[in-house]
This record gives sequence, C-alpha cells and structure tokens, in this order.
Amino acid sequence: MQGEYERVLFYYSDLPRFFVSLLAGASLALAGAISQMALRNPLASPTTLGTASGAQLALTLAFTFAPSALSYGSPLIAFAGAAAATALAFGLASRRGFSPVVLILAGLLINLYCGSAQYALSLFRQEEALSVYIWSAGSLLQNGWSGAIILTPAFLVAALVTAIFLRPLALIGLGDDSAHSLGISVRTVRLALLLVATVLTGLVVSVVGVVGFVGLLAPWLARLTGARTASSQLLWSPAIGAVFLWVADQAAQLAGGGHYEVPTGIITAFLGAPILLVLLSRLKREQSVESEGSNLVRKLPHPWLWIASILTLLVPAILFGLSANWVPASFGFVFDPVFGDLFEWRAPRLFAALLAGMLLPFAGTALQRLFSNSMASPELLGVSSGAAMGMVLVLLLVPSAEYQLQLGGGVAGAVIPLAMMLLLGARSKFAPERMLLAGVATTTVCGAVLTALMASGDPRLWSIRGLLAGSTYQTTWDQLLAVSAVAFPAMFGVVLCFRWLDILPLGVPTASALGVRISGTRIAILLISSVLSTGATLLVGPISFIGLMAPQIARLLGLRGSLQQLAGSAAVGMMIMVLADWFGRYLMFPYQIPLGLVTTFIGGPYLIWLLWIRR
Amino acid sequence: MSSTQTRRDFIAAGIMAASAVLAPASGFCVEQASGPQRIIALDWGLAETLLALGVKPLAIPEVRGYRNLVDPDLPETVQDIGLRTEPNLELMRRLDPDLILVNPGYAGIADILGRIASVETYSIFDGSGKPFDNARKALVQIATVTGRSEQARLYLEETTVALEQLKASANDFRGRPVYLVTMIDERHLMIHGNNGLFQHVLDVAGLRNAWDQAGNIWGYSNAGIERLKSEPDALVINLGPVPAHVQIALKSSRLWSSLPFNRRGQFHTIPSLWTFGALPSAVRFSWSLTDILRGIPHAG
Repeated sequence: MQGEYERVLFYYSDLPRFFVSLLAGASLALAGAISQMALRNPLASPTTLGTASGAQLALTLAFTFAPSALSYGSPLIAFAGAAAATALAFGLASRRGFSPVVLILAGLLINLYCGSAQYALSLFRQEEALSVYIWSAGSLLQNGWSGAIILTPAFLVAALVTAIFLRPLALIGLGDDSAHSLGISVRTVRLALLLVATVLTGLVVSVVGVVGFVGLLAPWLARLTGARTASSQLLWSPAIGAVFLWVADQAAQLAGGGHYEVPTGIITAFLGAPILLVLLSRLKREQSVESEGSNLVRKLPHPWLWIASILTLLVPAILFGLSANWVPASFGFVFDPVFGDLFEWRAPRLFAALLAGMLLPFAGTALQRLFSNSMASPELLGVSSGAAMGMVLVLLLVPSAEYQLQLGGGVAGAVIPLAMMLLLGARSKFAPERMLLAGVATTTVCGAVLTALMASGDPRLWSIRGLLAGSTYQTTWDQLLAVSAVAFPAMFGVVLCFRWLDILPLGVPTASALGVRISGTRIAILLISSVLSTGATLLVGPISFIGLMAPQIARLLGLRGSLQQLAGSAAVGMMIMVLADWFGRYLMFPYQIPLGLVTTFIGGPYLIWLLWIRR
Repeated sequence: MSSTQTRRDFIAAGIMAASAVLAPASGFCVEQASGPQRIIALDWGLAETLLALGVKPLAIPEVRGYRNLVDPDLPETVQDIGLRTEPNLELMRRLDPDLILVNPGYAGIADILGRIASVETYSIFDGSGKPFDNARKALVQIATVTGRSEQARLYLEETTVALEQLKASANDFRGRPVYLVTMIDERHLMIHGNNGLFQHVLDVAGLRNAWDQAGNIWGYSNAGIERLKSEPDALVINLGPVPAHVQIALKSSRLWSSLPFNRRGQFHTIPSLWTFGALPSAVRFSWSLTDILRGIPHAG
C-alpha cells in the first residue's frame, strides 16, 4: 500500500513537476526573450510588463466568482487577463516610442493594482483566500500530466512561430527605421510576437501561477554568457530558463523541508530582483525619461489665495466626513446626541486620513523635486513597500510589538530601498530612471515576500492584511500622536529645505553653481522622505498613490515654487483622503473598504491617464 | 442528511413542547423578559450558541460566510455588520444593542464596544485544549446572562441525545482511526488534532483520532495530503466546504485517488460545519458523523 502511493507520487507528481518546471521555465524565458527583442528593451518580461499579474487577477476572479468556468476555461481566462494587461502596458508605451521606463512603470502599476485587487478579494472572500494565495505565489506542484500536456504544444508552437519570425526579429534589433527600409512591417511583427509571448505567459500562469523574473533573467544570462545574435539568444534563453526554474524549484522543495510548501515564485523573485538592479545600472543614458513639461502649465496667479481656499474648503469636508451618513436608502447628517459617540469613532480614522494626506504629498513633492521627475513618489520608489516589510517582520518577530517598535521597524525597512538608491545613485549620478527602476525592484520583491507570508497561513498575519490594505479601522489617538511626534518634525525639515527644493530641479550644474552641496542635500532629503513615508504607511498602508497624485495635481494647478507646491499638495492630499475615507465607509456598507484600497483604485486610473497624456 | 433533519425537527418539537409545559412552572416567561434581548455576537460560535438558546441575535458579522461555513439556516432578519475583523461600529451603535458577545480577539476594540453596550467575553479556544468543555460552559453562562437557563438545560439534553445516538451507531467502529481534516487545496489540508472542538465527540463515540497530537491554539496543524496514508484503514472526514476549484482539481488527481481511503471510498465531507465554533457545531458534527457511520456498510 505504501509503495503504491510512492509510485503514484513519482509518476503523477514528481515526474510531471520536473517536466513542468522545465517547460514553464523555457516558456517564460522564450516569452521574455521575444518581448525584449520585439520592444528592443532589455527590461521587458512577463513580470515587469504586468502580463503575469493580469493573468493571475483574471484567474483569481474566476476562482472566486465562477469556479465552474475553471474546469475547461482556465487557460482562456488567464490569456484574457494577460492580454488586457499587456495591451495596457503596450498601449501606454507605444505613445512614447516604447520608452523602457514608461513600459516598466506601466507594468509596475498593473502589478500594484492587481495586488490591491487580490487583497480586497481576500478581505471579503476569506474562504477562498488561502488556496488562492498559495497558488498565486507560484507553485509548481503537480497532480498529474494535465499541466505538461498544456505547456508542451504551447511551447512548441511558440518556438515554431518565433523561428518563422526569426529574420524580421533580428532586423528589428537594428532599429525600426532600418528594419522598415528592409521591407519589414515592424508593427505587424511586433504585434504578432507580443501576442505569442502573451499567450505563452497566460498558459504558464494558468498552470503554475506567477513565477516571477524568469523571463527577465534567462535572456540576460544568455546574453551574459555570450549569446550575441538573435537566433542564439532565442535558442539559449529557453534552455537557461528551463534549468533555472528547475533549480529554483529544487531549492523551494528543500526550503520547505517536505512539510510546508514554499512557493517557487518566491525563490525566483529573490534571485531575479538583484539581476534587475544589475540590468538597470547598465541602461544607456539616452533611454532616460525626458524632462518635465512643467513650463506648459501656466503659473497660477495668487497661489497662496488658492491654497488658502482649498484649506478652507477642507473645513466643511471634515465636518461632512464627521457627520454625514449614507446608509442604504438614506443619506443624512447626524448632529443629535449620538454625534458624541460617532465623533469618537470617526475622528481618529479621519485624522489618520488627514495626517497621511499631509505626509505623503510632502514626501512626494520632495522626491519629485529631488529627482526632477514627476513619477518619483514614495510608492513608486519602493520606500513605502520597504516600510511595510519592516513593520510586518517586526510583528512576526515580536507579536506584541508596541506601536513605536513597529514605527522603528518601518523606518528600518524604508532605509533598504533608500540604501539601494544611494548605491545605484553613486554610479549614475542619481539618474531619475535608475531611481525609479530600483524602486520597481524593491516593490516587486516586497510584494513577492508578502504574498509568500500570506500563503503560509500564519494566523498572526490575518491582522496584518488590514494594515497592508491600508485600513484605518483600529487607529487610535495614541497612534496618531506617535506618528505625529515623528512626522511633524520631518515635515518641518522639508520646509527648511525649500530653497534646495527650488534649486534642485534646475539641474545639477546650476545647483552646484548656486552653492548647494548636492550629495549631502540628496541624502538629507531622502532620509526625511523615508521617515514621512513610514509614518504614512503605518497609518494607511504601503500603496495609496497619494504621494504621487497630490504633488502632481498641485503642479498642474500651476503651483510652481516648492513651498507653494508643498502646501498645495498637502491641501489636495488631505481633501482626497477625507473624501476617500468617507466613501470607504459607505460604498459597501456595512463592510468598510480600507482607505489605502480606495485611494489605490482612484490613483491607478489617474496614473494611467497621466502616462497617456504625457508626451 | 434528511434523516438528521427529521431527527432534529423531532427534537426541536420536543423542546418546544417541553418549554410550553415547563414555562409556567419555572417562571420562564418572567425570566425571558428580564435578560438582554438585543444581542450582537461578533464570534460565529457565540452566535450559534445564542440561536441554540432560542435567542435570535440582532446582528452578526459576515452573514454570507456564516451561511456557507456555519449553518445555512440563519434567520433572514439577522443583520450583517460587516467583516469579523472590522465590525461596523456605527451600524452597531445604530442598532442599539444591550449586549455584545465577543471572543478575546476583540480586546483591541473592547473599550469602543463598551461604549455601545455591555460586553461579555467568552474564550472557547483558550489554549487549555478543552474547547468542548469551554463551549458547554459558555452556553450555560450565556443562558444565565440572557435569562435562558431552561433552554440551556434542554439544549444540553439534546446534546446528550446526539452523543448517545452517535455512540450507538459507532458501536461497530470502536477504536477505528479517523482523520478530521479541512481541505485547503488539492495538496494541503488542515488536520484537526486532539485539542480541537470535536475531539470530545470522537471520544464519546469511541473513535480514535488518527492524528493524535495537539495542533495550534485552534486545534489544527497544516499538512500535506500524504500524511493521511500513515493509517491505511482510517476514515477521513472533511469538515467544511471544499472550494469548487479544489474539487475540480481533486477529481483529476491520480495522487489523491491513490490514497488508501479514497480507494475504499472512505472520504466523507460535512459541507457546512464550523470547526472553530461552539457547542451547536459540535452537536451538528455529532449528527453528521452518525449519518456517515450509518451509511458505511459494516464490512467497511
């Protein structure tokens, strides 16, 4: 009897797992190599373009709401999600000449957005959550040959199509113009090959979940080991991908010690992120983000009057937030004796929203000016994710951690992406695109680690889910005081830096000529920003997009000077947060949507729109 | 299933008849009016305890989840107050309860809850390893607080009846190993150890928990399905619903079908059962287990 199970285990689990690890690795690597060549972008891959996340979200939705569709259609569903995500990233980038940074930003956006949607689902559909987490973290576990049966023909067909397009693909590598003059329809080839990559990714995700970074890593290793021509890269990438994923899978099985399944995706994320950083440091200078079109926005007359009006409008908004109800079938205000109680419950979360609505725009404005890049923000630079990681680790190690200790853990976590930025910055003179991409790497790794922790099903982590989704439900006055004690001095510090912040966007030579000590200033501003981001993360979770949105809105309004932008963005940020808190309370009443989720769902489309209009 | 229903109905009818007879004599009506009647239960186990005592809670969290996981027969008029982890304070305040029942997990918001109504905390899974005893105590205590001592006595009688019935049906299975599990996905499960809520029910039935070790504070451990092969003649009983996508995966899994209990058709599922509940969950488990054992051919 015992032997029978072992035999079945070998033939129906271990053996197919071996083949699936090879096939999935090869397929992801091929998809990565194809997209990198078609887009002439060494950073393109199923992970960085958001293709895999799109497939994952589509499947999670299907798992939760239409499980019966899965018995036949899971590859189709995965493909639909993968296609939607790729089309979005691709569409955004195509307007800007496939700028690598825009592609990667769009991909990160899709990754973050899908991640938030998963959190939301796990909050509201707990029964299904655990198994979805395990699967979505990328597990190669097999129960038969069905996975291998799907992937084998898929990989072979994709390889065949790629072989047919080999010549045009090699010519695209020479540049769109030369390819065009040689009679190639660049557009058609690009679309056809991206379609192949997307289908392949969708199928892999439907079989093993999201196994990140293989598609980025394998082509890189292929180039590194001397594959120069298109054909040799296309040949070697899948081979390397297959071996890499097999090794990663063995490591995952060893790490679990046979008791607990460590998702293979975690291992590949850990190995892949440093490679991404290496790739970044080699990015050519010419592929940078162009300077901002800030001059296009006309300067606002009487800026302080405008800021004062927004701040004045905040008063009725706060009163509205404290008193208005919108329970099913009745909208109204409460000013009766009940108001006393309601005030006690609504006020702390409202003030948490206000405080975060001030901290994040301050951090965002400082970072955007520091890097002369309107895409710099605590969220996209990975500072917030690092802070969240730090807090989660503190909670795991010291279950009864005081709030101050969590705050400390958060700052420690925020320093890691900061240190990476400084390290990379030293070599690239803080080139904005390096900073952004370093942030992408941090955010992606933190995301993978958090998903893994969730998959472990540790009961301590159920409470952390609220924190990660940005819930202000349990915010107390004491917590507000603790964050304020750190945050207000930091905000004051930013205000003190206002001259530097005015000068830095003029460019390094100008700033140096004006007597600013560049590196010292940068370190100071980065440190202050990470404290601000940590404070905000403790209150509203790592992803809210307020630090990105509010400074930009202030700039679009025409607030030019750094003091004006700081004050204006804080006013805008607080306004958005107060309204988001109110909607979060009533949109799904009696269920309350965490504040961080509400602002993510507002901020995501805003960022897409922004990438769309910028030229 | 239907036989359980009939038995339950029969017993319920008996209880009602008994109450009708006993009520005047024991001053039951007066007692009923005296206790708090507008009660919110934030813990599902405490909610089902209230229902067992004939008190309809004003509101509970995650009504949909309760119907899926605990008991589909929740009265329609029980209100939903949002997530278990974040019950809606404003709605609770508006409903104006006079009592809120919680487990120690709500200590963080106990002060806030205390301003809405008086709060009673009951700890069924307290690490003592005796959740069944705690659940029985909680039932009696809640009955005292709500003035339902008579119902409590009757419910404890029903519990005894359920356990006796089970014992009778388990006669041919004495000493038989049983795994109590909850499937997470096609390869992982929670396996309920000897400090879970249902251990006492197994003990009364004379069945042996094949996973004879303590789990975490809730009485379970995470494990892979291969653990279930160490006792080849064990019955395996899955507690709670198996997610639809897991069912699909299990159907096509050779590994799963090769496990000894599957080849003998000894994998049983009790689809709506809350392993972290209270006494009514244990009683429901007892009836379902009785049905399962009666359905098994004696040679099995």
